[in-house]
Amino acid sequence: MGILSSLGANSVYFVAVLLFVIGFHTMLVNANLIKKVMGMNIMETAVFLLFVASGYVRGGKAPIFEVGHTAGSGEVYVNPVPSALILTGIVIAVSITAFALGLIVKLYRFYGTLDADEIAHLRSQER
Amino acid sequence: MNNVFTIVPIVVFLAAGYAAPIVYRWYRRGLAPLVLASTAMCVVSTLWVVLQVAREGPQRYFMGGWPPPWGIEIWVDSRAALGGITLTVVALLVLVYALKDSYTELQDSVVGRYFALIMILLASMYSVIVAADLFNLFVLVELTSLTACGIIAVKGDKLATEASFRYLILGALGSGAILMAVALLYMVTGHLNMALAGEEITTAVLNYPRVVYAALGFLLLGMGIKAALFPLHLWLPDAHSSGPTTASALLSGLVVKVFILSLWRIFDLVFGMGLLEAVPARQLLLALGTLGTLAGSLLALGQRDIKRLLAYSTVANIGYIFLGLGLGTPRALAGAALHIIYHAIMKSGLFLTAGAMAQVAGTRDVHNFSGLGQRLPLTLAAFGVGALGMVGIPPFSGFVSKWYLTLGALDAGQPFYVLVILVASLLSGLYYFPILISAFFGEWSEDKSAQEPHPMLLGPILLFALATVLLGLFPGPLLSLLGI
Amino acid sequence: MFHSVVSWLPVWITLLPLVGTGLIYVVEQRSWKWRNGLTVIVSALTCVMVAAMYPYIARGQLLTKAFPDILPPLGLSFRVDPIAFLMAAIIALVWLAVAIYSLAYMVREHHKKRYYPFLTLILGGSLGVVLAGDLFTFFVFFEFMSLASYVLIIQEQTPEAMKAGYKYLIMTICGSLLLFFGIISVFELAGTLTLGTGGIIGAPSNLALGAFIAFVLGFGIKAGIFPLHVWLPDAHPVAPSPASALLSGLLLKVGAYGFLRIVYNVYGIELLRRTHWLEPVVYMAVISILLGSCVAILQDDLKRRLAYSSVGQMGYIMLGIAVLSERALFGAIFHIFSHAFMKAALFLVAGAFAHKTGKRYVSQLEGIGMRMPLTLGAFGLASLSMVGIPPLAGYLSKWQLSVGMLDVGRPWLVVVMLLSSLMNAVYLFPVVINGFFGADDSYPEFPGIRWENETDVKMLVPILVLAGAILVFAIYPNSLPFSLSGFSARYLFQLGGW
Repeated sequence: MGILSSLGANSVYFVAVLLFVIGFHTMLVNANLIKKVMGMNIMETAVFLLFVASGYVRGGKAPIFEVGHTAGSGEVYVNPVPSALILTGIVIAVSITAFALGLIVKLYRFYGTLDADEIAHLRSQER
Repeated sequence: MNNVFTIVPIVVFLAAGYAAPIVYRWYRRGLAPLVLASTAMCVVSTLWVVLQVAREGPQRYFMGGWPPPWGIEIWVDSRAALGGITLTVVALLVLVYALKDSYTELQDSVVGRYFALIMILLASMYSVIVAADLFNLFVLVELTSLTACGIIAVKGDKLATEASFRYLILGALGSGAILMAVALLYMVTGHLNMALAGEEITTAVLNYPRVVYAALGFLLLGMGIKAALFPLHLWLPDAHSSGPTTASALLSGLVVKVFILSLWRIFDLVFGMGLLEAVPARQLLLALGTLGTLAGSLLALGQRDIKRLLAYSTVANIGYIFLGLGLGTPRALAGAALHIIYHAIMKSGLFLTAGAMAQVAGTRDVHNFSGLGQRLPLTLAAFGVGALGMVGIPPFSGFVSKWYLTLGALDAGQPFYVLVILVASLLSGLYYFPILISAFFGEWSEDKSAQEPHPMLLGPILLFALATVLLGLFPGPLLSLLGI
Repeated sequence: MFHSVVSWLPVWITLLPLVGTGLIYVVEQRSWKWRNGLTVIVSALTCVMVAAMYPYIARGQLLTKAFPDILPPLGLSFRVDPIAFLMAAIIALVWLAVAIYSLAYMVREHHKKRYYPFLTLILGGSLGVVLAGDLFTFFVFFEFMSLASYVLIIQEQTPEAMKAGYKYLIMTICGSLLLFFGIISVFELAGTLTLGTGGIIGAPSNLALGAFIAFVLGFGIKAGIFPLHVWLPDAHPVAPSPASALLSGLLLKVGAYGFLRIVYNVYGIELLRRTHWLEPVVYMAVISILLGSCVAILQDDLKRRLAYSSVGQMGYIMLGIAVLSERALFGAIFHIFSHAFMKAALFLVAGAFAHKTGKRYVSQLEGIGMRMPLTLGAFGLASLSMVGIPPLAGYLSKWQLSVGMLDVGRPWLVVVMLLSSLMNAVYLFPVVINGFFGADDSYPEFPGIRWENETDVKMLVPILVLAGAILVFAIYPNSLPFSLSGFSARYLFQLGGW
């Protein structure tokens, strides 16, 4: 019962770890280059999720203040820092994905395949 | 308090990076002055920072004037200052070489973009060294990885593209791990500034020990991949050997080092040495360092391609540095810091020299360098100096760092690691000396015209060799800055 | 003021050949005559400067000079005590003789542009080794000298030379790394590397023993002691004869000199007497003596025979150092002197034969004395000295060695030495006897000394000077090298009390 309740309370973290492992595994094991990139994205999303979740306060509001507003004692706000950071993180993830896809296009033109094992095979034949 | 000189290199390198392709497009002859002037400016400002650090202690800068915990802090201690000056000086020499070499190795259309990538890479590397904010560090690490992949891929052939892709994917893995570590540390300490996080870590480790140790593990994994710590080095030989010569010099000489420096900084500021004693982090670094040193040397022994040989030798030397970190005694740490600097200089010089040799010989196969030393005595002499330095022959640079590393091992009461370092020295002798012997005493078989490379190539090569000798003979200033 | 000038002497002595190397390289691009002249001038000047130190050494002064800013934190330092002076004098003198000999010998060889600069470079390196004031400086110059010698070994660039050179190089690197280990261990234990006292290591420990083993192996490789001699018989014969003379006559001794410093200045007599760490070295030396002499008998190639003979003779020196008796040490130091001159003379004569007649093998040398009586005469004199016939230098060193062995109550070592002397006679005398009395068809009778038959005068004079020194310095029993050797041995045994 204790385990289940702690699972429930920390469900976000478990999902994040699960996603991380899925992404990690895909990146390392899957031979398809596109799927490698997808794995990379899943892995990064997992970390983003974890990061954003760490700043979430149950029942908290978005920390948006209007001019002249003073925070009351009962109001609870979500920590905005992780969200702001993750915006940057997403931008980085997008640019890496774009670069990786660009390279994949080039590799496909060279080898005519998206399979990493096949590319390694072709390369060893060339030597 | 706010020392503006600490961020001059970031601003100038970045500005030059964005200006480079534009200038190249509209006024091609302006590229060299732009690149050289901006890098020279960075050299001067880092030199000034080094002097200030030597006089007054660590220098800081708060981005936008916001002090931590809100703002992003730049913090230059003596190690970072030395790393910074090494970076800018090596960059300056490599860029001089690149201004000539890039036109022969690359298509004309990409040269401008290549320089843009290099300049942004330099900006991001410098910032990685001086960053004192965890998330800022992550962003810069990503930028470094991305541009590092870029300067490999710019060559555009099959090998370079593939190496770049592999580097990118493994680098992204590493970045994911680093970001994970940052997230975990932020969760338990509530700070992103390294020093502030370090203050909270002692209470955090009592409340959430597993989270802190998980963060440490993720950090080691991520930085280990980026810094090519054995067995996470698998991307390195391809990546460091397939790009243009100047890219290899930057990658092997500088890029892997900045990650070590930043890992070291996080160890110091966030985790603190006491915390590292609690888990077998030291032992892990020692074991991996040992394996990396030996495996790198043995693999280098089997290489015929000179650039791959140098790349594997980098794996071995990264092993040395991690050995020093793992031993953790003051002299071992000093040896590690010295080796970061010395290896940056020697390996960059060796890659440039190897590039020039390969260009003359028409091949990168070491067996075809036979007799080259009689035709290009200066180039090969520079290669010899670098090689002797790598083996650790006095009075060349590598000897001093070897001296401190081995003394540090004895201080720690672990003579076994002295043995490891000596065996690696022997092995490096076994792969460098045959090249030198056949180059100087072999016969030049073909009747190809062989003459010393263009002064813009030869100059940097000779200056690197000179630096290897001088820093070996007179390491006094470095030692006093490092506090030994 | 004046003393400050004098204390710079060891620095200049080391520096002059190193600077000279650069000069020679520059000059030889223009003219080979100037190059030859400059080589001799540099050697001669070095000799003069070494001699200039003598008055101070004789008065019992030490010349010291330290440069803490070069290679900090230890820095380079120079320190001349009697033994260092003696070594420097031997090196400088033999080098001068060999340099003059080279002028004529090397005429027919190729790659001369490489030979002369390196000849001078190694002179500077080896002088730096013997004049070093601490182990660190010692090591720096030792590495320098060892690596540069490689170039002399492979001078002729034949496949055998390249192979022998590679073997030498690998073993040298191994040796250097062992020395490196020894030196950092000593530094760790003692906190200093100065060579001024009788033992800087206080108590035996595992690390001290490990370092000692490393030193024995490291210097053993350099000195060519069994079983670390394997590079020597390959490397010495393939070099040009003057280079072989230097390698066998001098550079081996530098290894022995390093070992001597380790025993007497680093570990100290008391510690080694207590721990018996030197016992294995005694046995290694005995095996070297017997094996070297034995195998030398079997060699037909004269230079190879001489190279194996060097293994045996180095055994004497190491034995004299290792038994820890003052008179044996006296003998060992004097044997450094006598063997340097004898072996250099022998190699130079072998080179003269090869140069004049193209004959390298002992079996071809029958009747050579008819044509070249003076050259073979010098060979005979050096051979007699090697065997230990009075009143030659070799006799004196062996006498002192034997007396020293008896002092420490080990008469069986004297038997070993006598046995080896006998074998020396077996491998050296036939060359002389066949040379003088063997058949030579062109000269049925001894035609007297004919200059056109003898080797070039530039080669003959160094040979005769070296051979003459063996006789002259032995006839006057209190000659300079003899008394200096005794002085040095006494100095090392009672450090500070002289």
